[in-house]
Amino acid sequence: MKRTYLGEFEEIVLLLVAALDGEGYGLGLTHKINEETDRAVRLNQVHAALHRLQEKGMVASRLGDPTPERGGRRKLLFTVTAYGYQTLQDIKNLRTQLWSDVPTSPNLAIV
Amino acid sequence: MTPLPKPPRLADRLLEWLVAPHRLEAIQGDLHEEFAYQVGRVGLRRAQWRYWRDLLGFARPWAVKRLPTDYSSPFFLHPDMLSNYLKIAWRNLVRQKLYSLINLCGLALGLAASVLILLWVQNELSFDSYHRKANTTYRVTNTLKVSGEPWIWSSSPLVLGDLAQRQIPDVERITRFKKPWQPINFRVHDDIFSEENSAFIDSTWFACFDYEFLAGSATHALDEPGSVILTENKARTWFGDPQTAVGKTVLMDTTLLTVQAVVRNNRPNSSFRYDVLVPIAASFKSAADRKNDLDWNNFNYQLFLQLKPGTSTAKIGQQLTQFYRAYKKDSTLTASLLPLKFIHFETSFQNDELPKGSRNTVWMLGLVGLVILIIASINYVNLSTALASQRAKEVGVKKIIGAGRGALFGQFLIESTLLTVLALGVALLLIWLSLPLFNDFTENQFSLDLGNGTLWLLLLGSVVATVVLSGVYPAALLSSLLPVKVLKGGNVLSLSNAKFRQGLVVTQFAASIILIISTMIIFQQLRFVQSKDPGYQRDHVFCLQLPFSKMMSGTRAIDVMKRQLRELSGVAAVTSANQPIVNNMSSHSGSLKWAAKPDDFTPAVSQFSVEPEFRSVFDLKLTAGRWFRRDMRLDTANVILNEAAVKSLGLKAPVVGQWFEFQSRRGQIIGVTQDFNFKSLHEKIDPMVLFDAPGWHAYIFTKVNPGATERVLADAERIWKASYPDKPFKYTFLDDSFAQLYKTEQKAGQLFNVFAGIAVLISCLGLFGLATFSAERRHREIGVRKVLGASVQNIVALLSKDFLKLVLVAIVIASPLAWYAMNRWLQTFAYHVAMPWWVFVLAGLLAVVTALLTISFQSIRAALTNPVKSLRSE
Repeated sequence: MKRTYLGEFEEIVLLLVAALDGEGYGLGLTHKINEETDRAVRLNQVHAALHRLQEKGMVASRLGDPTPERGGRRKLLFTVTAYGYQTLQDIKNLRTQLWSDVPTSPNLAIV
Repeated sequence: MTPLPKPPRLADRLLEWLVAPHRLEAIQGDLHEEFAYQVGRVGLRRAQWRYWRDLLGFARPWAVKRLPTDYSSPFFLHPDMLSNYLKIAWRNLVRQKLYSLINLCGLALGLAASVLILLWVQNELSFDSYHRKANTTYRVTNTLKVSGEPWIWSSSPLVLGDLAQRQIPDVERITRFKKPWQPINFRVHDDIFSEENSAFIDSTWFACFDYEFLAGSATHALDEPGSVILTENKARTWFGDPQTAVGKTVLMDTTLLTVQAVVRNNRPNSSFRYDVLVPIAASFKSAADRKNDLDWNNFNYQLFLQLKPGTSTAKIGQQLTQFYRAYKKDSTLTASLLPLKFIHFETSFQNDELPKGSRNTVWMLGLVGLVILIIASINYVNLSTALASQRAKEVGVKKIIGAGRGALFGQFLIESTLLTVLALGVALLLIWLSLPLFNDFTENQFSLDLGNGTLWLLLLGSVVATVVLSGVYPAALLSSLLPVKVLKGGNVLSLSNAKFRQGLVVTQFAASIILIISTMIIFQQLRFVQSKDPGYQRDHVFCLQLPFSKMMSGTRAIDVMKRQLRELSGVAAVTSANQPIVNNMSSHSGSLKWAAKPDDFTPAVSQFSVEPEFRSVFDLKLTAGRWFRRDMRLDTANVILNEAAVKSLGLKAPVVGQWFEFQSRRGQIIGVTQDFNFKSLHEKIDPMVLFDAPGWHAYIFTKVNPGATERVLADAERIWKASYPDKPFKYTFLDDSFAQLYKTEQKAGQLFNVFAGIAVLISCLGLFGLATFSAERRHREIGVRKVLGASVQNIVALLSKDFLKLVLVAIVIASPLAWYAMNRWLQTFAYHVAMPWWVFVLAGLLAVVTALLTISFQSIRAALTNPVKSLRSE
């Protein structure tokens, strides 16, 4: 099977970009991650992840509209590419396939 | 609606500098949005903290890395760029002839003045440090503590050195010298030379101190006791050619000496200014002389020790003190070591004849040099920023083509460097011209020897300092101009820049005014010193010092000479004393006794041995009792006190008639004199005991009738030659030796005078440039005003007002500073003038008038121009 080079954090960011459907940008994604997951993610980490995803060709960016609280600066909005979407699908399928092998009530170790 | 709180400005600037431009918008936008959100959530303060934290998270390579550009941009120090800078700089210099000339003159004057000062300062600070072993060489200091203040001597007994060499293993080498009591006479062929600057030295002298040998060698020069070593100059005066001097013989009194070596002239930063060096052994004419010097009580030699590295100086000092305990049987004397390099600035010694410096003067002059350099640099800063609008288009176009700010900064810095180097050329010429005067003035032998590394370092340092002071601000300002604003036209400089320029003009004038006020106060004080009645008459009195050896032979010699002098026509009176009255350095403590003296009170008093005729010659005033009289035999045991002594010894009235014991002679106090200044006015009048002991006298004072001076001096020389054919006739007028007391102040005053003049000149040059600029810039305004009916006076006032305001502010700033500094200087005199308030007024007026004169040339010219000329171009 073809390996997709996607870290766990990158996967979450990519998923959210797909979920926001073209309206995701650095700060919005950061807030979203902090709300949905229980992590304290910082802005620069999200930006770095988006930068890496773009280099891998999984997201594409375009400039949005300026807003006053941004001091008249535009947002950099991200959309998932077909390749990115395919990668997400692959990961999901792999997980599903792996889950199907897990018994309904496995023996759990007692620590 | 209240404006949204903004993120910290500094942080934003940092971000803009840090993050690559193509990523900046998204990142900065996100950060600002987050900031606005966090302000609502956690408050402004914590939002600011978070802003900083978030921002620093972007200090990562991916965010910082810039996009590659398609256009090449040559390194700003590329040879092509350099030649371009130089070409443009040169064109600008030539196009703005007047301003370039002003800048060049100002910088050249400033550089010349400060290089001269630095030359002197560097010389003072490097005294004696050029010897290879300077760091391990020390001079022995002896401190005698009898009562009250200690007596500190720079000389030691001859035998102390021998003991140190033999018994202290940490002493590597010792060397000594003594200066003869009198100038020595040398007979060369048939000429007699009286040499003030001669010294007797140990055979280890050249091993301790570095000399450059032109002939002969350091190791063998002192092998024979009958040797003499000369400096280049001395060898030239004696024998014509230094090279042929070696092997020739000279006669020192009756001793035959052979010239063994010729050394390079003494450096200006050497404490040892001796031109004739003779081995110590040659100074002993008889066994008795030698025995005399070997005595523990005769402190005739300066003793230098070279220690092994790492030796504790305190320990050596203790060992030397032990020698005094053991051999001299003296427990009041302690020895300590003074590093060779510190000798020049150590002035607490009673009898140190080496040239002394004053750290205060060094720092003060160094400061003045720096101030002058700053004043000169300000001219450049002011003119080049004022002219910025003329360079603005160039900057704008260059920036659009792609020049970076750094490259432009470099360009303007190179421009100011070019001007500074040109100015240095002119400055070197000025220095070369003024060096003979400067040498004469400082009594040094500086030269513009371009093989001298220190000189180069000094020049380089001044140039770098000037470029930094003058070039950096204009370069930063010019390179910061925004192309859009510049090319749109209009005023390129903000108001704050004009304010800055005004601030600099104020600084210039404040510094100049401080120098003017200082000069005036120094001269006021010097005049006060010269004209203050010292309490005695010193006009038309000259003084002769009897040879030391003759003085010892009894009182007859001096009496004979006095009688001969008295018989001359034109001589009003003759008297003698143990010290010159102008600067009596003889003091004493210990043997004083009087009726009410407390047991633990041993005061130090000045002692002055006089005689009955003394009072009439100097016209001393008595407040009580009588003067010494020839017909009172007991007067040789009696004393006269000055008022200060009566007060400090706590004598109860009536003072006259009380018994008093002094120098083991008990007599009466027969009189009290009014206080008179027998030292410089730096010092308070000390208590003084006057007594009549003719055996002490070494100085003869002759009062001459006005107009007879020439004749009397000729006759006196004849008398002198008859008695002392082998001693040169040397006389000093008391007025001259009085002036000598204030020589340093006199020199400081003159130096300040010159440098204040230079500072004012440079400041005025700058003002002239600015006035020219402002008249040029406003020529249309002036034209319109004239058309509408303004008079010439109106226009001149309009143009002068702004500058005058600056000078007035400068006066307000300078006055208290000058007051403070000069007040401190005046405090070094026990007697000084009250701070003269009119000096401040005068200096202020002077500054205003000079400034007005400077400006008026330009403003009157502008006011007189026909308005048609200035207006027709539109």
